[in-house]
Formats: sequence, C-alpha cells, structure tokens
Amino acid sequence: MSVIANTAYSNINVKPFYSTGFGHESDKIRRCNQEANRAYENAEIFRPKQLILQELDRLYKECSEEGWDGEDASPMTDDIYNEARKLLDCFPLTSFIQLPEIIVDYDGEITFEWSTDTRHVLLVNMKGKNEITYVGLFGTNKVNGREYFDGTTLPPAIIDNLKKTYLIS
Amino acid sequence: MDKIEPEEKLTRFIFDSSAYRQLANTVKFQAFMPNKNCEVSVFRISDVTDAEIWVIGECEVVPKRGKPIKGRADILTSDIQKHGLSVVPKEPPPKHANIIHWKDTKEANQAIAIELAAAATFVKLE
Repeated sequence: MSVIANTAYSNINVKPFYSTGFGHESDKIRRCNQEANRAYENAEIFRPKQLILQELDRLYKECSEEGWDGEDASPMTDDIYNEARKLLDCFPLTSFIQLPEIIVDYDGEITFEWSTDTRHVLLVNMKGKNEITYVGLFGTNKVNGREYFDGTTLPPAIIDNLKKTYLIS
Repeated sequence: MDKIEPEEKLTRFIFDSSAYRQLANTVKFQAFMPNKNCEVSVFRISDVTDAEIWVIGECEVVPKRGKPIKGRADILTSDIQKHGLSVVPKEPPPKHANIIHWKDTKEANQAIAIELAAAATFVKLE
C-alpha cells in the first residue's frame, strides 16, 4: 500500500522567506532562514500530527472508490477528507491529549476515536457537511451531540469532552 | 432453533487490530458495530472449549473474511439485551447467531457498541 509522501508537511505553517536582496549578506540570511524552517518542520512536537495526516492521506487513497472494503462500502468523498484534515489541523499540540485513531466507516464517513480505557471513549464523526457529531462514554456518564464546524475552530464541546477523556479518567 | 438465554456466553471474532487495544488487551467499539444489514455476527460458546472456539473461527469465519483472526470478544447475552438488542440463532453454520434490533442512527449504535466493548473480554489468539 502506498503512502502519499510529504503531504503532511503542507499543514505545518512555515513562513517562506521572500527577499529582493542580493549579495553575500542576503544569501547568508536566506540560508539561515531555510535552515530555521527545516528545523521547524522537523521539530519533534509536530511528529504525531505529521504521522496522522499521512495516515489520513493513506486511508483517503485506499477508501476513495466504491467497494473499497471488498464489498459495497461507499467511498470517502473529497468533502469528508477535507473536513477531517481541517479538524486535525485545528488540534492543539499537547502532551496530554493524544491525536485520534482514524476509522473509515462503510458509509465512507470518518470517525475519530480517542480512548484511555474501555469506559473513557470519545468518537467524533465527520460527514463532510460542516457538521460533526460526537458520542462519548466517561465512566458511567454518556454524552452525544452535534456541532457546527467552520473548518477553522475546534468546537468547544469537543475540547470539553476530550478533557473528560484524558484528564478525568 | 432454541432460544438464547441471558446467561449464555457469546463470542465475536476479531480480524482487525483497530478493534482492540493492543497494550491493554481490551475490546474497542468497532468490534461491535453493525454491518449494512444492521447485524453483528456472533457464535454461542457456553458449552464449547476454548480450543473448539478457535476451530469454529478458523473453519467458519476465516474463509469468508479472508483474513487471519487476531482475537475474540467474549460477552454475555444479558449484556447485549440490556441495550434493547436481541440475539437470535442464525444457522448454518452451527452455533451462529446475529445481534439484531439496532437503532436507526450510527451515533446511537456507536453509543451501544462502546458499552458492549466495555462489557466484553478480549481473548487474544496466541
């Protein structure tokens, strides 16, 4: 199975260096900027996000055609893929909240799963319609809901439920 | 076919590593999500030895799935019935049954599948 190489790096926002300058000093500044950008891109803190974006790309490639499961599964559409990618991009890089596992359902929709044990589980479903649904179990408490997702801001309800999954378990 | 009693033990064979937590050896919700026909296939194992259970999986399920078994999720019928689901015999193959009467929405079924996974015991194929 193939992996779409380097696409994950496109989500890391590195500022390009533009200059009309020339000469020895200008070249030196340009080189320094390139080295700084390379170090930024390869920083350890981005590694998990890079890996999960690569995994999403791999699944998109694998599941974007009808019958990808060997039976009659619906394809993952561009809208669903893009929405999932935007949601991952919104994710804060923290040491205590892990990035989710990605599940592609037979209806082509994507579910993100976070769990710390059998009774602390959060599922977030993406349908590619700027609307995400969630289902959670936190000990004996159950939650479910529906949130508008504008593609740029992680809905507060998801953040609250992630805290319940990771901080209270 | 005989009725399945609440105290009867069932098993669901697992083929994907995403359906269980490898470090904790616990079952994840995917193991119990219904298929497009709103069914989950299980086998009745109350009067079957552990070795025989794996033989059932190898002979009856592996040929259909075309994948090797990773493990299984054992669960009591009563833990399924308490969520409004039913377990009905569906033979052949022998000892096969389906979990039916799932809800209308994926989210409602995910909520149930999380609970079933929490109630189940994961048995890894050594």
